[in-house]
Amino acid sequence: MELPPLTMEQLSQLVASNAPPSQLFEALSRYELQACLISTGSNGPNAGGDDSTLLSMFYSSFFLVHLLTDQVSEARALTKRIPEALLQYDPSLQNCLTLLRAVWQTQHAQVYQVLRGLPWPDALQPLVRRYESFFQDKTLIAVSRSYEAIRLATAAIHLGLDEQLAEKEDPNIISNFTKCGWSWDSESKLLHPKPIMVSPTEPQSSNGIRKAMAMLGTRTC
Amino acid sequence: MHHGATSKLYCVRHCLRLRGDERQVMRYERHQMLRIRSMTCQIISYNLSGRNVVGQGKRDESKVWRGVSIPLSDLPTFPGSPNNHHNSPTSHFSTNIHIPTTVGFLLQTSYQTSLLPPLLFSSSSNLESPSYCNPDTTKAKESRNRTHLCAFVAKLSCALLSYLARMTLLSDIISASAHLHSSNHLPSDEYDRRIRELVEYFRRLQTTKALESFANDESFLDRFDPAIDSIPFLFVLRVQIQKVQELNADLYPADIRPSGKLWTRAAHFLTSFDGVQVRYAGREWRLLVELVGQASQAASTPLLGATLVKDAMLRLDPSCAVFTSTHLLLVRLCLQAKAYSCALPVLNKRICHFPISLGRPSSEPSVLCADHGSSVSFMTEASEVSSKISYRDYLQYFLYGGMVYMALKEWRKALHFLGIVISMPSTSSVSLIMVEAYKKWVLVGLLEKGKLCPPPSMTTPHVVKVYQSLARPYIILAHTFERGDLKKLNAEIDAAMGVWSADKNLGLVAQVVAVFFSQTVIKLGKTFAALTMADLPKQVSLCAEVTGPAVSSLIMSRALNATLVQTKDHAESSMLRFSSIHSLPRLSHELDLQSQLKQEMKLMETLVINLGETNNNLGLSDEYVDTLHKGQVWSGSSEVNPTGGETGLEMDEDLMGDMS
Repeated sequence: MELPPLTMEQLSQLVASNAPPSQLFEALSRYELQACLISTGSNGPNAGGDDSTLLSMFYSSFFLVHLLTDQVSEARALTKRIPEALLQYDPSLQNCLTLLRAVWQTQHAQVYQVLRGLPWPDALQPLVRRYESFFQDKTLIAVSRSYEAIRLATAAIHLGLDEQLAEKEDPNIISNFTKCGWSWDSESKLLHPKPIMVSPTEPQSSNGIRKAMAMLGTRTC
Repeated sequence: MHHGATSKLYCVRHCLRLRGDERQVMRYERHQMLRIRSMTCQIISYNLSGRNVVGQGKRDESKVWRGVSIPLSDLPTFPGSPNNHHNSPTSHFSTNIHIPTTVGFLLQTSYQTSLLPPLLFSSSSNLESPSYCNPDTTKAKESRNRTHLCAFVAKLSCALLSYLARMTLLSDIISASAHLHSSNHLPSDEYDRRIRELVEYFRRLQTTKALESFANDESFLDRFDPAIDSIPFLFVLRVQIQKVQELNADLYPADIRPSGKLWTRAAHFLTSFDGVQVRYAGREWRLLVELVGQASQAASTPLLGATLVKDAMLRLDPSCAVFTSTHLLLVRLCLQAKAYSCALPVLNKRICHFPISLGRPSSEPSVLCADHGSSVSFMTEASEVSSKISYRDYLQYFLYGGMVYMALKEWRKALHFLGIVISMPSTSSVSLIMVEAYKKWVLVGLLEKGKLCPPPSMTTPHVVKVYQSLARPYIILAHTFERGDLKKLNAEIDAAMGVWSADKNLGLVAQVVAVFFSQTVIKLGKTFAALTMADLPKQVSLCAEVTGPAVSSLIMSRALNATLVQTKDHAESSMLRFSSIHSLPRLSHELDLQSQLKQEMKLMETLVINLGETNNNLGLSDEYVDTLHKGQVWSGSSEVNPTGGETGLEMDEDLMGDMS
């Protein structure tokens, strides 16, 4: 099937769609060839001044979709395929690099800070929000397996919840965890996670995890 | 249609042969055409924007002219005119050839054009007083004009001839291709015969250079769908590419480079060709794939080439079980493009065969189009789907494949690929590629297992000695790593910085330092059941601020199989528990194992199919038949065992037994 030309409209439509990450990845992978041609100036006479905006939008989206499909190493490789001049001066791509660094070093608090605090273009917001949700899901599973007992504040940091409220043992935050099957020991002030299992053949998009994360509710406090 | 056109050709040629009659031409000029009352035959009218021309004929006294269609590109350029008729700004051009009742001719244009010198031509309405008949024109000029006119008409005549011959050929090609379409329902041997005939036909056309008549015909490929007419499309595309290369000093001119006209055609073909048809034109397919790869490299866009090469490989042989020269091309392109995951669909497939020559030369060729269990049946040496593969190519492929996995931090798979390289059988000299692979093997072994991994057991001892001698700094580094002293490790790394840099292994060495901490913590798990986080920094030579988050990160990334137990009090240290009592992670681990087992099972199924094919091919090989024959002779003389094959095998065992 013939691929429609890579345009801002086409890209925005794709990014805003609720397509599964794997489909988004597939579609953007195919568009990378067009982006490559545009960046090398081989795209014919129509290549104009808006190319850098289009390329920035494309590469930022593609980068986020790499993370959304849990391909961190390949996301890093993508940053090496982006034209150097664009990467150096484009604010959106600079945000991507900061995000990559935080993800690479598993600095959870930094990841949420980059996703929520840095200025992302409106067109990218759907993907940014999706990745935030994905990262939270993934971290919840990891924390549930890594800790036998965890302080509420530590859990809140890992999951991007309000640390101040957690320190005050906010019942809403506690209930978010207890709804996931974790137990709260009010004496020891510790959460006892219930490990979440994900079948290797089923990625984290399984309904069970989605439901669990929907219970967390207060992501942005 | 072409038969009618051919008859017209003879008519035109007959008339144009008269061009050499100088006397009549002079007479014609002298009388300024006033006396000439010719039958006008508009034979050509074409435009630059359109592809073809509509020829219109008017009734001649003796012949009926129906007209022909000629693409603009086929027409000759008039001598002395700008050689730019492909890009001429003229939007429409028509030429009339006036054929006098006597002899002589006149070419006339009814529209301004850059194709023909305006001096010689005027509009139809000016026939009686043509502007070119300037009384001041010198005789030399007239003579030159006449010569030019004659030459032009000669060329035009040739163009007509060539065009009509081309139309005949095109018609033949279309009918030959249609003949193949109608063969889809036939049994495979009949279909096989027809494809072979078609490919032979095209090879003949290529040898006789008949296909070159389509070399500049851009519209030709529009007539064929590469998914259905893969053979005609491929052959003509190859000819067009060759022609463009011949006309340009550059081996990869703009048309062939990404987004060029021919590149687009090649990309269309490589993503949609019929895999069965192309089995019969392996050589042409390979040359096209190689060209695409090289052109993308020349244009500094290896990603474009890598994607197309990968798609083409998977289309021709989805199992990718036969090693070909294209494997190496793909991995090299992916490394250059830093598009590592692009290589994975091919790298993750198990290679089980090299292209082999099937049977003896006299034997019947196999039916390539049939459904084969293994691709080795049609990816043969004779199909030339791969260029000659050398020992070096094989080593390079696995080294590069290992590098792709290293880039993706899939250390286990990288070790597997590097292991294939370093255990390559060698009798005397050792390839430098093997030595380079061994250096990476040492570093990847540290990253994956935290220790110096011995080479695979099948590695020849003398090769191991060579490795130990040529990769000494790496072995020293590995021993220091194993001893667990971070300071010494850093000192060793600093001391041999030039070596890592020269070998381009600096990145891997840096990761070895980074992984030192995790490997040390993992080793602690073999000694302790649990440790407080306060005790850990002493064991791993790190400060407490860094240790906590680092351990947490290790566990969450599943690099370390342990759990953390925090306490209520911040001041009180958390506990790191190596032997976890968490039951569910174990269950999860079992699920992982189950998934791995499923993958291994699929792999085994693939291997069994390919093993059967290999067994079959070995059974048909000359060596096996000779051995079998010798075994029969031996068995016949001793009259021990009438079953020749098994006797041959037993003989070997007995001989070995005697010797021992």
